[in-house]
Amino acid sequence: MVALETPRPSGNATRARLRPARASRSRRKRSLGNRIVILVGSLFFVGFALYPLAYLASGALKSQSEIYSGFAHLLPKYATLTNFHQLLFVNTGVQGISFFTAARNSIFIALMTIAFTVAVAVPAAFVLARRQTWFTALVRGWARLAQVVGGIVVIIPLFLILHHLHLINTLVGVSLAETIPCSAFGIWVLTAFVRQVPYEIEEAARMDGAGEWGVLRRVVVPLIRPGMTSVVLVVFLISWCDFLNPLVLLNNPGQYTVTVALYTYIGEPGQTLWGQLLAFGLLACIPPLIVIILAERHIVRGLVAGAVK
Amino acid sequence: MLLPVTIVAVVLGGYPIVTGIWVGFTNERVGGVFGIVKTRFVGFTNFRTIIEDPLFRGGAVLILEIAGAVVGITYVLAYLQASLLNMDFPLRRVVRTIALLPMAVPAVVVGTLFGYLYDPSVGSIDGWLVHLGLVKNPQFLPDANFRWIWIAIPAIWMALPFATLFLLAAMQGIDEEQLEAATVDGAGWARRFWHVTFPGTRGALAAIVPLSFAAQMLAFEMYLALFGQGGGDLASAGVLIPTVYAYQNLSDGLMGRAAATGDLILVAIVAAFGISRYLSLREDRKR
Repeated sequence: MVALETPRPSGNATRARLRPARASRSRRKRSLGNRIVILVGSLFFVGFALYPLAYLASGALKSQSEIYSGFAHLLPKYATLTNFHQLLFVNTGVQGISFFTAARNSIFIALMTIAFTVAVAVPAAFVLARRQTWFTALVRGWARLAQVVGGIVVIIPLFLILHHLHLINTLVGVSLAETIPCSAFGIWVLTAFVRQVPYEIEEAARMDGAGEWGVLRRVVVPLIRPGMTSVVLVVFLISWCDFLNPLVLLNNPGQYTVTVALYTYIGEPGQTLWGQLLAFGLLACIPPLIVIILAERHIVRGLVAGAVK
Repeated sequence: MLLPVTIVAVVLGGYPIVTGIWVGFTNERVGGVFGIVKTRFVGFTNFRTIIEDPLFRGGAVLILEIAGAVVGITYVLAYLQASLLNMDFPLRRVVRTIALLPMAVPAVVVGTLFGYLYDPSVGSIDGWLVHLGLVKNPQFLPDANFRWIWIAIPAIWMALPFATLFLLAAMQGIDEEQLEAATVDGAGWARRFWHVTFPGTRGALAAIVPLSFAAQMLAFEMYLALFGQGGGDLASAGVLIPTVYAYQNLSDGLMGRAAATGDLILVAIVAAFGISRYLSLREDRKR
């Protein structure tokens, strides 16, 4: 599948987008005061972003007795992997949900959602970018609205619709639910990318006898691949982090996703197994963290393109 | 090719939203202890029930306060962070990557994590406050004074990376010559910001702020996870925000009442959406 290709460096134009305006020139004349502002600002924002994450990792490495032993020091006195061991190999959770099963469900749902989203968004973006009628305006309006309206507002009708279709308690049902906001996002981003494809190339392909689908597959898709990469990665993040859809649409613990399984670990006040809960949270963060760190540029491009009109 | 697009747009987009609005005006039920009740149109009954419920009203006021605080503080911080990242300095890329990391954390983990940090017996933030003598009796912070600050912080933490990216992209669209001209004229950082950077990004800001507000109105799992462990029951904690209120009705099988709550949230979002469109159109016309 085209869309699942690994990200690769694209043109300089996109790479330059988020560079600072003035490069080396301003660095030379930077005053001491300026440097202090940059240092303090960097420390503040780095600290703000990392403080909770540092405690997530620290708590996950502490034993239950150390967590309850008074002041929460950042560095564990006796770092241990017991929580992870318990979580992955011994105790399979309150409702018998193992992390591995949950991760498999999450990945399956994410891959299905990516496939549905690409199947919907690519042709739709092609049509919306090339035609201007009242109808395309309406679909564009919907694509905007569906990115904003979601969650609890849509889950109630979706529950009823999927109930009638006998898709409650199926992973496919969850994927379909997630496809709604994801395809809206994909349509929005990809329309902008299709617009940048020179119309002359399409014309040339039509002259050579290519039909609509031929033009889309052989001409447009290869040229909007950077946009598709961004969409695929952002959809992965959305789907992996989704909680409400699997919570409402799945009742069988064996089908729970990572986020829902994590929620079942939250115990009664005072009885929470914080170490295991935080270890579970840390594991849940690892796939999105890898995606963001390795493909930061693609994610940023997708998100910014999705938000700017 | 227009046909598949039509079908997809109607099935995926229009149908659920329209159904959702309609269900709010019915007594639709699924499962539960009520047995089989024929679904019928009940007018504004659900809406009246909800609005007369003090729990809903309290939650609605709370989420409006929190959403306002979160959006306001997030964009102030985002302007600062974007200005910082728009400068060139060593390790700028590292700082930017770290600043984006909260985006990788699922909201339910954010809620859990802040529940841990705020916990009276194990949390580090509570620990620090006691340590510094700011708090005498440790308690779950969202139950303490200035609760909205504690509730807003995780929401800000989650919203900041995207807001920063968005403003950074807008700032890079600003004409450099204007900034240089202002510098030559002796304008300091504050005046450059007020006369060049802010007007240059105001259009983008007008477009994004109402959308961020809408996102805050729909926030759900962070609150569920945050209060799931501290106070336990959201209703008794007085934080039954509309999304959770709808979810509780949904869990009880009261689809009509849940959908009606959703409709009320939808009204708030559509209003924000309309304001966003209006402001960005007006901004376009000015240019």
